[in-house]
This record gives sequence, C-alpha cells and structure tokens, in this order.
Amino acid sequence: MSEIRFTFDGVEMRTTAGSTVAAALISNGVMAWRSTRHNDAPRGLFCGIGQCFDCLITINDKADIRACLDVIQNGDVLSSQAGVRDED
Amino acid sequence: MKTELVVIGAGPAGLSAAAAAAERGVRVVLVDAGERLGGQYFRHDGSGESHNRDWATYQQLAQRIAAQQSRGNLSYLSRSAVWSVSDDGESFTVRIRKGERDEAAIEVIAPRLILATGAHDRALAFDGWDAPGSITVGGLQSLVKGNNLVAGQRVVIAGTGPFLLATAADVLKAGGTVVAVVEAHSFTALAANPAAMIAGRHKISQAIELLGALRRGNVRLIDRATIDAALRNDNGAVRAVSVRTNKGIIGIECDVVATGWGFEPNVELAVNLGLSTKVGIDESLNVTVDDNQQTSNDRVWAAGELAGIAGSDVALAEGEIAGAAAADSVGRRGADTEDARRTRARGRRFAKYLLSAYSIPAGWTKHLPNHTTLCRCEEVTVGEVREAIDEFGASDPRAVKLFTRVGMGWCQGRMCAANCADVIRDCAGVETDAAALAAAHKRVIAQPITLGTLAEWDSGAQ
Repeated sequence: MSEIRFTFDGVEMRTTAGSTVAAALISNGVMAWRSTRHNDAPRGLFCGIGQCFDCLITINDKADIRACLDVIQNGDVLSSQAGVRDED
Repeated sequence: MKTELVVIGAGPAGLSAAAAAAERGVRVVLVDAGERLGGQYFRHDGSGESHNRDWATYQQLAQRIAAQQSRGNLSYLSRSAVWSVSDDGESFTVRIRKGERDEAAIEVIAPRLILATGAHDRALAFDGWDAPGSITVGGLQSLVKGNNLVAGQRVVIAGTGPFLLATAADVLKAGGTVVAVVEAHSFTALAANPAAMIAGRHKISQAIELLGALRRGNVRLIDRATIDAALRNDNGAVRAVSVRTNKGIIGIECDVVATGWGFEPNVELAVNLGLSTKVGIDESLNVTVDDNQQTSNDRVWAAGELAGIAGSDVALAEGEIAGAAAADSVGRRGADTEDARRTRARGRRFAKYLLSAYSIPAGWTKHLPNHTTLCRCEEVTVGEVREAIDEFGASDPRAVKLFTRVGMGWCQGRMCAANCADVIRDCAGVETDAAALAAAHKRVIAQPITLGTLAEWDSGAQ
C-alpha cells in the first residue's frame, strides 16, 4: 500500500493510504489529540466506531471531525483541539 | 432521491435485508455511515482479504449486493450518517450527512424502511476510563480489522463475554502483544451448562479454541476479576491497570486497556420514530418485533442487534426475514425463509444463555470512587450524580440529567445513560423502566450536525 504524508501540530508524519485519521495518529505513537473543556484533560480514541465523539480533531481548519471515521488525505494538516470548537 | 425501500445499516443484518428485498424486485437504497460495506462485524481494510472466520459469508453477501446494483435494483450510499428520519404516515424522509468533512446533504424518501443500525460496546465507567489509552474492545478490534493496526505495545483486554477472547486473538494475529484478558465471570461458564451446549455447541467450541490460542500466545488469562482503575503516566495516559481478583488487587503494566461489557443496540432512530421498545435480558433497550421482524409500525422492520443482542448469525437471518417481509408487503414474493427462521430461533436461544452467563455484575457502581468520570462529554463525576440522587431526590435519568448535565454532551448519552441508570439503581434502589430508557435515547437529531447542514436541508425542503 502506498504511503501518504500529513502533519499533526506542525510535526511531519507518514502513514498508509486509506487509514483513518485515528489510525494515522496512533501508528505514529500519538494517543491524545484533544483536551476537554472543563478539566483540560487529554482525550483520544475511545469507542472507535463513531459513537462517543471523544476523538474530535481539527483538520485543515475544520473542527469537530471524528478521527475514527474520517480517512486521512495526503497533505492534511491536523491540529489538536481544545474542547469542542462549535461551542466556543 | 425517491425509492421503494430504505435500509439503514450495512452490517450483517442490513446487507442480507437489502439483498433479500432487491432480489425480490424491490428498489432499495442502502445507507451506511462506514467507509465500506460490512458494518462492525465484517469491517475490513479493503484489500479483499480478512482474518474474519465468516469472511466467505461476507464475500457472498457483497456479491449479492453487487449483482443487484448492476441490475439497477439497489443503490448504496457509503459514508452516510443518518441524522433524522421522519414519517408523514405515507413515506419516510431519511436525512443524511455525507462524510465527516460535510461533502453533501442528501435526502432519501421511501414508503418503507428497514432499520439495521447495529450496536456499540457497553462500556462501564471505572477510575481512569477517560485516560488516553483506555478504549473499548470494539474500538481496539476496529483498528485491527479496518487498518491492520494494533493500538499500544502492551494491551490488556477486560470486561465480559467471548468477544474479549475473539479480539485478543485478532490482536495476536496482527502481531500485537496482549498481556492479559480479564473476565468478570468464568471463561468456560457455558461449557458447564448442558442446555447451552445443545443450543450453541459450535460457538462454545470456538471459544475454547480461542482460549487455547491465547494460552499458546502467552496471554495471562484471569477470570472472576474486573478492572478497578487505570493508572496514568505524566502525560495523563494509561501506564498500568489495577485488577480486582478474588485473591486481592493486582497491578498489570500496559499502555492500552480495552474494555467491553456486551453491546448496546443503536436505537435512537427507532425511538425517534416512536416504535415500541422493551428491556432485553441484558437490560438494554430493544425494538419490539414480530415473527417477520416487523415493528409496531407496519411499514418499518428491524433486523439485527437493535432487536436484541444475539450476534451475527441471528442478524444475518433476521435481515433475510425482514427483507423478504418488506418485499411481501408490496406483493413481491421469492423463496421461503424457513432456513433463516430456524437459524434465528437457534441463535436467539443460545444468546439467552450467553447474555445470562456474561452479565454485568449487580451493584457494580458501588465500587466507584466519587471522583470517577461518569459522563465523558460533560465531565460529570459519579459523586455529582450520587449527590443529585441523595441530596436532591433525583430518581430517574432525566432528573439526574437536569441536575448534572449527564448525557447532554456530544455522544447524547450513548456512553453514559445506561451507567447513570445503574448508579440510580445502586444508590436509590430504583430500576429504570423501558419508558424512561427510551426517553434517555430520544433525540430529535440523531447525529450532531452543523447549523449549515440544518439550514441547507431546511431551505431545500421548502
């Protein structure tokens, strides 16, 4: 399978094409990419199948994307997210 | 888009339902949130190969779907999350948000509907279950099946039921390390039950094979034990778990702990349509169906886990029955469904034994320290919920929600509503009934959407 490149908080990373965003991050050793609104606690993947909304991430400036469902694209710019962007 | 039948969900039940109806000449639109056909059970990486022991069954179903697509009887919408279904008495309007990056808003209108929305892991709260590295067993398995990726260097799998064993074996096959499997009951509870052996000899021998494979893979097998807490490293992520066994508490180092306590049906769309529900033997909310999988609405059928957790064989059979029944309702008949009915009866019998043997321990919330997070989205603690019950007299999930915001976040209570009901039972002695459970699952909008999507649909509908 071919490899694609993306960045997470400015760091260059690579992963297999066709990976979900969550798989791309986890395969690069990243387990947390969001901090919670109230306690600023780190969060990453939990249910893994689109039900819990814990894995929300900002991609190419679009907030609140479920990392477990979305498939990463070559050149994506991922940024960790504080809270839930829509409520800010 | 208009059609004769919409099937929501492309797992085992939805695939067989869509195929069965289309083969009988019904025009079908099959809608699914996933990237590929298969749902959770048949999740795959698109390479055409899989470790799934029922892979041949999936390939057969995928061929049936493809054959109906090329005959023009069936359209398949992937990456399509249904956020609302409404019924005007004649037809259903199914509203879809396509893709996580909002590619499009789609509307499908049809006089008939089959719900095959599946289930997600029941996750019990524990101290540290909100730390990065704590995931569900289904989440762990979805990474293996969909991305060929094992999360973590040292994995602990805990909770109850044979799904723990199956997932541990999947992780080993993918080259990962499972340090331990922690089962609340006995690994061999069903093998000791003659009636269960008669109903599901094949399934029980599969579980025993899996236990052997795990032993050979140096997995520590600990039964009659539960996770007490996940301990965190400096970054707040999981570094170890403490396990409560009948010989005391033991510590196990790991960077991922995956927990699962059976499954919870995805009933939001069914509840929003006002379909009758009942509480199943696993205490989950199930859609009530008759012998033909018809719900309390005679233009809606339900197939698979949302009609009661019973596994993929039953889901496949229920899909065949529902698809045939939906076709029959418009006068299109095909082969009889006797085989599917026998499979369903046998499978449901076995599911009863399975769900009773691998139940959620009574009073499980009593062990939770007050600082444990109960609602992950709104960061409400167990202590705050206990206070709402003890100090303010809240005695049903709705009242607790109003006092504490439990269940008001993005997951809309999918992760915490059942746990909250259990805290109420353990604190106040009040059981949550089907009506209150249904109220906890009722959401006008079944998936979070942007105001833009809502506005787009609203202007299109005028």
